[in-house]
Amino acid sequence: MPSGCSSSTPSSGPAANCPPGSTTPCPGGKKNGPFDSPDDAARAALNEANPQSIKDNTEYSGLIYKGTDGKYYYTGPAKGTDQGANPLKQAPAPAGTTVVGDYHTHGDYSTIDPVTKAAVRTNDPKKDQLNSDNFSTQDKNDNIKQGYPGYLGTPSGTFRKFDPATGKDTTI
Amino acid sequence: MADPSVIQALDAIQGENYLSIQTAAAVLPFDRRPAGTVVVVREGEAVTVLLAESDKVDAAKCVGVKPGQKAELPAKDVAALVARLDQIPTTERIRVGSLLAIRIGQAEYLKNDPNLDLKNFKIEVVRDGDAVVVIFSDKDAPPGTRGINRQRPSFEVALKSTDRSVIRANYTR
Repeated sequence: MPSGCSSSTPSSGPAANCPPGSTTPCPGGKKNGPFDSPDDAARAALNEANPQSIKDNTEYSGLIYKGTDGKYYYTGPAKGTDQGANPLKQAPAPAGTTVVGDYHTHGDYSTIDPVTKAAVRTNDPKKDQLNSDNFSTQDKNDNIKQGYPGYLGTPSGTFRKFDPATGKDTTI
Repeated sequence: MADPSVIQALDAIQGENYLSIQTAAAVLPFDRRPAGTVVVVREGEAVTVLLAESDKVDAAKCVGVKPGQKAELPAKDVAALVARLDQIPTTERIRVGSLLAIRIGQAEYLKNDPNLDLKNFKIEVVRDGDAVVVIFSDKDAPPGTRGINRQRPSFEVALKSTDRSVIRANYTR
């Protein structure tokens, strides 16, 4: 994949990030910025990640960062593993930039297989064992510890934002 | 009514230490279980659980038990341990009220996974608006990890803060 852009489908490896201030789309790729606000960057990231996440029933994640040009970008989306998704490890922000948020997706409505513990797609919100349309308290608690907002893509297609500065959980 | 937007960390403990407390407390009759703070002290392989009547661990108002033994520690041994407590780095403290919430949460998790082994988990108790939420998560997961961990799936139990009844209990991703 060309450096300086994210792929048109979410990646399973470490994310390649557009250089801060980059304005040129990469051939066959999709730009990850610049955006005027963190919410705009998160919305674009989730628009890219969430359909694939629902299709795969797998979590994707990444970071929202402020480039040296003062504009906003996203990393990833990086595909989670059977150990979960970790944007700090799987989709780090470029050196010299400032992380201002993270995002992740929840895949499809699911139950947990009692033996393998794998998420088993139900595609039915009434048969969802994971409270998939909402942030977990653990998600919110992690964002409080990190000190920046978290963004979430849900199976319903709704995007949510939790801002630890206000404690508000809203749709974006 | 609590501010519904506020999340506040109340307590956290390693599952292994929680299990030590359970084992130790089982030795004590109910009237010998102080209702304040519990301290788990680890020195090498040796584990001691101190149960105190208040947030302050006062040797005179404290009971000590070594998990696996069938009797309380002698008062002089408890006093000696309390005296050097601040110099032992491997201790964890938790309030008895949080232990009650964890116990309810543990029962909910066991309904979903009878083979649950809490020694692989860390346990956090947080206030989330009007609820107290017990969070079980992989003790080895790096900070910021999201999503399903098949080996040690995270689980949350939200309790009404007023009567500790269960509002929801679910795996998380």
